[in-house]
Amino acid sequence: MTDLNTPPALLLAEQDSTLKSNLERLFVRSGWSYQIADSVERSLALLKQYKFDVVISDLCLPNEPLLAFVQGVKSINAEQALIVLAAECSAHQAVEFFRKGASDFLQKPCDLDALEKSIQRLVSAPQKRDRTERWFKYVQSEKVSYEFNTANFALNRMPLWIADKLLATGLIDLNTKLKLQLAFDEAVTNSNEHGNLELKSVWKEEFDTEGVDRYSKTKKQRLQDALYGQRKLWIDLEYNCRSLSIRIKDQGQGFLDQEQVVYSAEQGTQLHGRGLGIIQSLMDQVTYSERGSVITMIKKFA
Amino acid sequence: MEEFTTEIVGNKGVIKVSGDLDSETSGEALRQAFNRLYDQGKRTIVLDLGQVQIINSYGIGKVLMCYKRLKSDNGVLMVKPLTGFVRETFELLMLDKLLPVDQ
Repeated sequence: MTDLNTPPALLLAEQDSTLKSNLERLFVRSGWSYQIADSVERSLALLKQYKFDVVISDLCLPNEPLLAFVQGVKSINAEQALIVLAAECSAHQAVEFFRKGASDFLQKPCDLDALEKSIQRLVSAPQKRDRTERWFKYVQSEKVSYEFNTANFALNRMPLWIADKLLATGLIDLNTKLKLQLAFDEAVTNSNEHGNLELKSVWKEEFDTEGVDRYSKTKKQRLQDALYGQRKLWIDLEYNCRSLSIRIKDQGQGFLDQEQVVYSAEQGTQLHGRGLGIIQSLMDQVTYSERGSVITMIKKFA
Repeated sequence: MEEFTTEIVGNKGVIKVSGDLDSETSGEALRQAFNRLYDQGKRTIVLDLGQVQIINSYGIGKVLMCYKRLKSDNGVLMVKPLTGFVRETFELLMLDKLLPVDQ
C-alpha cells in the first residue's frame, strides 16, 4: 500500500455533484489532501492502493448496498476511519452502520461544520475511543433475551456475541472478552447441568466397570428424559456504556449450599465449586436468588 | 474424534494439548492421552498447554483427575510454562501451587 505522505489524507466516495464541490472547498480550506472516487469499485480500488486517514462515503445508494460498502471498506482495513452520509435513515438503520464498522454517521442534508468536526476528531483522536462515543451517541442500552430448552441447548459454548460487540466498540479488550465468555460458560453450564439436569459434581469421580463416570452417563440419560430435558433456561443480556449484566434462570431445585467459595491449594483438588469460584473472580458482582436458580453477574467497564 | 499427541522424553510422558480444554470432546481426548502414557508405566506426566486459549471448570476437572490418579500412585503431574489466559485461570484457582512447572 502506497502512503500519500500528506496527513490527513481523505478519500471521498462521492456521487452527488452539489455536495462534492462544497466538500472540496472544505478540504482545500482545511489543508487536507484528498482523492475522489465516484463509485464503490473505484473507492475500494483506491483503498487497496493508498492509505487514507478518513474515508467519507456520500454514495447515492440504498441502505443495504451502502452497508455492504461499509463492510467492503472494513475488509480492506479493519481500522479504517469511515464517515457515512446517508439520507432518510432511521435510528435503527444508523445503528446498523455502526455495527458494520462506521466511525460516524451523518444524515443528509449534511451540516458541513458537523462533518468538519467529525473528520478532525477522527484524524486526531484514537479510533477506538471514537467508535465508543459514536455508538453510544445512538444507543443508550441494549437488551437481548433468550429462552432455551435444555435438551436442545448447545452446551459446547454459546458464543457471547455481546462480548464481540463490546470489543468492537472499544469498551473492553480481548482479555476481558475471554473472561466474560468463560464466566458466561461456567454460569450456563451450572444452570443447565446442576440446575435443570440436577447432576451432582461428585458423580464425576464415580466410575462403572467400563470406566464411564456416573456424571456423563446420567447426563446422557436425563437429556432424553422429558422430566429434565424439557426444562427451560432463560438468559437475559443487557449492557450500556458502563456495564454488562448477565442473568440466567433455570428450572432446577437450586443449590442448597450457598457458601462463599474460597480456594486453597488443597481445596482446589475438589471437583465441585470451581465454576462458581471462576465466576466470582472474573465478574465484579455476582448475586443469586435464595434457591440459587437465578444468577445475575455484572461486569463494569473501566 | 479429537486426539492429543503424546511423546516420551526421558522418564516423562508429555501430552501436547491442541485447542481449548472446555468440552467433553477435549476432556475425553485428554483422558485417552493420559491413559496411553499411564498404561506405559509413566508416572511423571507433563501437560503442554501452550496451544490452549481457554480452559474452563470442566477442563480443569479433567486435569485434576489426572493429578489425583498420579498422586495416588506416588506420581507427579506437571505443566509446561503457562502463558496468557490459561496462566491467569490457574493462578485464579491456585492450581499453579499444585502443579509444578516442567522447564
